Amino acid sequence: MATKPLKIDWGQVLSEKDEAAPPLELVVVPTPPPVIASSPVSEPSSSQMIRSFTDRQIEEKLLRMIHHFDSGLCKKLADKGMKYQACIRLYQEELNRRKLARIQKSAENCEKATESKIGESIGSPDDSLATSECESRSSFAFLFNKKLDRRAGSMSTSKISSSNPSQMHEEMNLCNLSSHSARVSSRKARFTLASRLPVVRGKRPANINCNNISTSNFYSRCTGRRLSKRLKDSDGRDTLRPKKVHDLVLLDEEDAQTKDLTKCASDDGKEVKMYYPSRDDPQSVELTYSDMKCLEPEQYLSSPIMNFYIRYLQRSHSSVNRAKREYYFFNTYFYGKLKEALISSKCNRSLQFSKLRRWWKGVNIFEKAYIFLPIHEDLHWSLAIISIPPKEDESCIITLHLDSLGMHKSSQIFEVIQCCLTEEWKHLKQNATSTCIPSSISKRVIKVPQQKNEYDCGLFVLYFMERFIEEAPQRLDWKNLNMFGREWFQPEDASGLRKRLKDLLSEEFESSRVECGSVEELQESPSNNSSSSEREEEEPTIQSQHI
Amino acid sequence: MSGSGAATGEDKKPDQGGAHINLKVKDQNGNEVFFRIKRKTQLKKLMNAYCDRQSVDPKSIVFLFDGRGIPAEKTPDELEMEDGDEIDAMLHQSGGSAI
Repeated sequence: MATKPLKIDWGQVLSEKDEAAPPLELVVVPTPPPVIASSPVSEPSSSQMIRSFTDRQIEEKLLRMIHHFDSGLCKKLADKGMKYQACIRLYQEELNRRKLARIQKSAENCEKATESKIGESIGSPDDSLATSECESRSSFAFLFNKKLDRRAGSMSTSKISSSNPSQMHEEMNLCNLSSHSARVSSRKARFTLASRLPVVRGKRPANINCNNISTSNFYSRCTGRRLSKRLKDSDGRDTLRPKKVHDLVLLDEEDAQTKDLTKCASDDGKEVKMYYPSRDDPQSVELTYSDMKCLEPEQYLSSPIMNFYIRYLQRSHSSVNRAKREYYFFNTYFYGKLKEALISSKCNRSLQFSKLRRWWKGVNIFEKAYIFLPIHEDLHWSLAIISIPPKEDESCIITLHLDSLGMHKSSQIFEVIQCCLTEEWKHLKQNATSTCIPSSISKRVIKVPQQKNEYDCGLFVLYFMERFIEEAPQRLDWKNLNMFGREWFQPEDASGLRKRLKDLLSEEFESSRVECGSVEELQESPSNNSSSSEREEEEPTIQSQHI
Repeated sequence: MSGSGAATGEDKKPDQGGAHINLKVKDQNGNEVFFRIKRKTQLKKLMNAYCDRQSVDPKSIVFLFDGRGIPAEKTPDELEMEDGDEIDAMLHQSGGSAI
């Protein structure tokens, strides 16, 4: 290896050429390599010649040329190595193109195999999968080595790569592409591997499977709302895949799953779990002891706690004066579902909405006085209250938005609520059960006390509810809106709820522990008898999965 | 397969639409997983299988049927589930403010 630095005025050498050949033209695509207009070597004849070489030949030639280039040979050339460099580039492109083609081909093989009959898929796809993974690894290794070589080699080589952004770009692109195709193929591996299960019974290909699940999981966690649409699009494509194969394939996975299930169950065992108000309550809220972590100072409130307190308020108020006031409480998940059903899919809005109606089945929400709708969006909690006038009254529905930071878009929330009420209205009209429904909906953003920190908004929402229930008149009127305002209560009052909540929950956990202990003792023996003999039979069978 | 003793007894009741039920679990991103489960099996099994498959921590997720939490010990029959019903798998929400 040469150690002498190579001094080339790249600015001068490349200046006019670069305009004709912008770096992006070098991005590798599976089609024949793009021709660089300015490159004197890239005539079709030479690229055809390269194509006739074997991989090994190209690699060797490439190494040799890079070596020569490094050693400063081209300095003596008339064009200062321009042609030589283009030639190197051409070889690299050809090499990359071949690798990509191979990866794609093997990925396609996998797909074909899984879509064809299982019998056929047992042998070959695994092989091709292995090669595809190997190749993606090797292409990465190749690039990595190349980079290492250069680093170790000389200053001049590192100059090449830095002065040649197009090439860097190309390499990174290739890395991305290959890792992408590896992921695609390993996703398919789930089905392939599942089809292998009859052969290697009980031996679960855990590592690959897990990997690939965690990727997808990582994906869905990281992407969040913004990407969800894109994910949905890809679902659409996935559903086109024949389901039949999956049904057949995955039947045998029952055995493999038994182990995982027992593992999961034992994990659960460590965690103290509670159902509030009780296990048999149709609207019970499930809480684990670790959910209380979010009640530590400065922690963000999480939905289990929110839903617990909402349920608590609902119970305590209804037991006291059920006849006097009628409230309806939605849980924290409803708004998201509602928004998804009403805003994102305007075409089948009614269909989506009819599914959602089951959330309040058996209840005519227009007969309630108030509806509480907690809103969770962008790591923030706020509250909407819908006030319904009494039946005989002709006045309009009033929707209020209470936000302790003024962060949520009130206009959008009002729109979603209006859509919801209109749809419900339509539904009730069709069934002609209700005759008198308020004619209009008015909206009001309510001024409320503001939180002075960045972590108490959940507490504010709960406190808004609590105070509202205590103070609101039987039916809301415009003049009642004076009850709110920035001075409605001290922000510290809302923040103080944190401690109250914690005490309340600790109490509930304590009492449920006492109850549960006695119940479980009773239930223990019969459940044990049946589970051992029927466990395998009882496993749920996963039919198909679209991610 | 073995373990048919108890199972065949239930399978011989076609009038009830079979001993099994197909359920769909849908997450917030719209991804769907289909399960086939016995009507008398505790839904805990379905939930655990789902968490296991999706590599989701069971503590970070809640399963809702018609907006209501599903107690792990309940069976599809007890919750009056019907074939093709949908279960929502919702990740716990957390909020303070976004800065």
